[in-house]
Amino acid sequence: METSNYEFAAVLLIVRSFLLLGLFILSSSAVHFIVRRLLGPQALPALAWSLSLVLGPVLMSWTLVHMLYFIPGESPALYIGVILGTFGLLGLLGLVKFITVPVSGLFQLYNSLVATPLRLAIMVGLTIGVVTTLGHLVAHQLVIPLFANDPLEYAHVSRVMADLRSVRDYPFTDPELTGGLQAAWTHPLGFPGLLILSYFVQGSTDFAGILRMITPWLLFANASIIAIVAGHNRPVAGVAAALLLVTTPYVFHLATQSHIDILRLAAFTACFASIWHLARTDSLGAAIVAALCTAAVHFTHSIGLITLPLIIPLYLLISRSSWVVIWRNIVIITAIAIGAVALRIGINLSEFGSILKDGPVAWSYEHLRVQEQREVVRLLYTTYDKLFRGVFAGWTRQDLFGWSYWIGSAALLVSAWAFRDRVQNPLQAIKDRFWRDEDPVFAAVILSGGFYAFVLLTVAADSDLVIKNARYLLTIHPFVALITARLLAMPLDKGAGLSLATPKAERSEEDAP
Amino acid sequence: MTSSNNNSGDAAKTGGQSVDDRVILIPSEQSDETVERAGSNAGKVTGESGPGFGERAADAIEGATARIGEIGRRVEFNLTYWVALIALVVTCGMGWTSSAVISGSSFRAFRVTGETMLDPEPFKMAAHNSQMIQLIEAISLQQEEGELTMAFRQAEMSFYGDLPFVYYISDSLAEIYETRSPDELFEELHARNIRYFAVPSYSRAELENSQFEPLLGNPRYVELLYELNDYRLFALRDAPVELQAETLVREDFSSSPDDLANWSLSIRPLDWLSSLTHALTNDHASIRHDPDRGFVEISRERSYRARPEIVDILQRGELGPGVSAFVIDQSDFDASLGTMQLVAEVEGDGYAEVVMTAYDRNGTQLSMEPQVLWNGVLFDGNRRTIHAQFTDLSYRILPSALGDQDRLYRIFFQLRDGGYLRLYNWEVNHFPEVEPRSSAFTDAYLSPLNNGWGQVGDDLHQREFYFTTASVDPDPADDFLPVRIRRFDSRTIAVSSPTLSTPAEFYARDRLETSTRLSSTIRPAIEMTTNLAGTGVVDMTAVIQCSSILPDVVEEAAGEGAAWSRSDENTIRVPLGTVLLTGNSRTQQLSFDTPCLPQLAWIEYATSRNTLLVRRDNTLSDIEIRDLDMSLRLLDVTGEITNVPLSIATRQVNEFRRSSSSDG
Repeated sequence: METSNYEFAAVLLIVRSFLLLGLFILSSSAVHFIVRRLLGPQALPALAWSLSLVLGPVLMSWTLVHMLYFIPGESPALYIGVILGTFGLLGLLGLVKFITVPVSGLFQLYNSLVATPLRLAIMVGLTIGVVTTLGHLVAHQLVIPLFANDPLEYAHVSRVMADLRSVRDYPFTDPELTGGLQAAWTHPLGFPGLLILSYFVQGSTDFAGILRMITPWLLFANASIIAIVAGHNRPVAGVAAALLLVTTPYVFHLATQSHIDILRLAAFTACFASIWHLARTDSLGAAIVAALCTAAVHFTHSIGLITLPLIIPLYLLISRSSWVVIWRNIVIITAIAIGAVALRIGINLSEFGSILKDGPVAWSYEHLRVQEQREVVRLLYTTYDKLFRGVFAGWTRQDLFGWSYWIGSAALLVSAWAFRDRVQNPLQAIKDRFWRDEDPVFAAVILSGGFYAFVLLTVAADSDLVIKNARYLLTIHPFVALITARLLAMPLDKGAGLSLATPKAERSEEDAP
Repeated sequence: MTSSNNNSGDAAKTGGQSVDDRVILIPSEQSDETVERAGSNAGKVTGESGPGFGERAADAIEGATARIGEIGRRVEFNLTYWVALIALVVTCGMGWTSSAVISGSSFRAFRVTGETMLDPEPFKMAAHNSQMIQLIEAISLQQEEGELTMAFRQAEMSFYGDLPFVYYISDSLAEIYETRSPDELFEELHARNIRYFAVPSYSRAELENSQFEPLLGNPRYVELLYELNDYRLFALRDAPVELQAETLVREDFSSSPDDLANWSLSIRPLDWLSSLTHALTNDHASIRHDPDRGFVEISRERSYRARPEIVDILQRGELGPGVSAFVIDQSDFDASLGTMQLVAEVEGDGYAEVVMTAYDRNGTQLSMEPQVLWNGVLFDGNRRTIHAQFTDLSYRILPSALGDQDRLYRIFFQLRDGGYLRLYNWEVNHFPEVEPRSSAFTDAYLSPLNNGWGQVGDDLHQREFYFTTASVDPDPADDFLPVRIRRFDSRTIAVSSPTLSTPAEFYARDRLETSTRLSSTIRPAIEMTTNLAGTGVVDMTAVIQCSSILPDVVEEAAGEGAAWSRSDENTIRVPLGTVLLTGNSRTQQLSFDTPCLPQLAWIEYATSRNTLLVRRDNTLSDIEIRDLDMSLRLLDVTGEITNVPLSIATRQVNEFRRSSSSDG
């Protein structure tokens, strides 16, 4: 009879959870080194820092997955060693050199708020909200085992790959290898890569264990990016946006499940932030960072392929540079973003004959009426249902999306009043507005509008692809949180002249419409 | 902002200015309060000698105004500000609360306590009472080498299970959906050696619109092995069998023009959210009977609110005590044996469910949630027959608590949200003869309970442990039923043995003799022998019910070795120590003194938590209680020793119920 002292093992697991977080910190720190350099002197220091929180782990996962493809079957120590060798030294150096960036940023911010006690109180309250939410998420992850459907499937597929120490058999068209699990997926291995890494750090694939810590990190990263973008010149808006994002019921719920969508959201938010920053500078370095972020979205999920059609129009709309520079940047973004998943695209083409795969063969049998039945069961049967329970679920499903959509759209309508004398050329008005104080809210509105246009198109084409699951609508949720928080906090931030992103930025007295 | 050390005159000026310049909304209470405070200060000042009252008061008022001005300048008092702040706080507060509720409900669902916080994941999953995990446990007791389970949900099967399985929509299985009859599908499944089907409760088009529906709904082809919260485990038979069925109910709406009287319509909200709009929407539903076309129909307009999923119920009879208009009366048959089958011919549009609820004779509902027999989507113009196989789950859940009650059943045909549902005819059949493939699922769990075993504690989850008849019965001649307890949760679980009693004749003999004997007896004692086997830690406690009320001094009289405690005025509990089993069999012989003459006695066996011993298969304990003998030893003053063997006294009401119903 094999026995073990499992309470001791559990404590050891908690320690290892923090080892995994340590790896995330090291990789982020290493990536920060590069991103900071690339973004150049005009960069917002905090933005580079927050983008790295997402890019670090994803780049680590990318490295691991490609190692497991090209040199499979080695000992986990080798893979972790290479990753530590790649990210460790630079990461440590970055930690020593730039540890002061977030610390001094926060210090400066709160120091500057002392003069306005009510604003300080609001900020402290909101910050406590974010910290407690992430705190009980971490406690939840340490205690509750993996239970939800999709995360269990991902965890099992990753376990098989971690045991084989190879990703060459993925996609698993032969269920023999997975013990019966059907996993003929076309998804790139961004999330499984992180899961494999945590299995390696854990030293066992028998249980989920420390992989539960991945989503709290990513949610934190996502909240940081949103806080820094929304908090540009407006500190209250930044923290409020972060709080609205992490406390959105569905977002939080997916984080407790260790769901892949938390990674997808974080990567997409990073992509948005990098495009917003790119439009400010149009520098080559910023374009490369934007390309890396787009690559990160591509690498996390098949649906990431819709990123380029969404962000390129956004970039075209908000950029001020010459066409030459704009097109140079677009080419760079496209090339790097596609190149990062070239291997996966090649494998999918040779395996399935297409980049994205349809459902199982059985779903094509008409007598089974799979799609019809799903629509009835999920209350998406009539056009009306499709619109109001599908497309506009953000307004009708408060149990999932909270109240951000309602409050945000109300605030948007109120703010639109400010543009009433500019109706002749609203786009130009937005662009002027955007450049007067680099307000991210306009970029967020444009992106959200573009996304909804895409969703409506799919519904018009009689496809339930995007609306069949409310998770897909979460793609733009960070921006909804941004818009809502930004507009709600407008009076609160009035005259702040302070920023999470640019501590020394000039104070602007007239930023309210 | 300007410096804060203004003199009073300046302050008053700036304060005044700020009132003029900005549209300021000074909360009136605040200003009143401030003035009042200034006034009271002034009042105090008057008591002292010094500058004139008017002067001081004016100064104070001026100072207060200055302070208000200061606050007014620092904090932008305006309407938008407060509206925005309140909206922000409310939105964030609601979000924060909902996220706390989400993680809190997880903790509750997994019933995490300080004690179980650090348990390994499989233990926690067991505590969660996850249906799929329990199906996996059930399959693992059944599936043999070379056999396959078809999983209609693969996540838990793959991550927490270790059994070969196939996923129902694997591309390699696509052709089985092209079969046109259940017989054909039966052959296809046999050819692939797929023998078990783990079916979750939710609707699956691939299952309902294919030959799986008539196959799994018919005991001819498959046997319903195990059922929990509408998750079901079926086993494919070796060959289709012919079975005797008794029809419990059969209704055809073309032949009974007045039958609508037995059916009624009721509407209830599906969840709390839809209950908000419930009162507004419940008048759009209707029920009608069309004897010419031979159906009874419920219909409801589709509702266009956000989440107004209302369930319409076509039901028989009215709720309430004393009403006997139930569809199925269990006094007609023994629902604890065999399986039941629902066959109905329906047509409709929308998501429909057929559910069953069990009641006792008083009309009290026996289970919290109705049992879902069938669910699926009906498509307009597609008249079809639905099949479902089920057993009465209330037998599994609380067999002993329900006692000898006959159950009454009601069947509900429900429609969720909008659409219509037409019922042409329906019947429920009972197959008493279905030979259980294994006793592990049908009778074993009940058998210990029917033979005097009990569960100790009232916070027992239904399936934290297996409680089955043991494989070995060392003495089939006696009445004692050996049991096996397998436990997956890390909590302490206790079962109580059948009650043993001092023979009746021991008391019934001459009263005088008994009392003489009692008074002349010193030190009554119990000698017990129990045989345990398996792996785990067992704590034993003897519970003794005395023939008379114990005097208060008893506790003081406790002997050295036998530290008992009183749990009742005539009941004592004697801890018997802990037995550690490591895969061996062990006979414990114990004897302990009692302060009284015992009338009834039983042993509680608790499989206790031991953090140092965890088996690789994550079974915390797997224990068999194979034998238990007790005897009463009496030592007379004369030195004569009498041994009176105790015998199993009572049977549970379940056993009684079963024999009486078979008599009837």
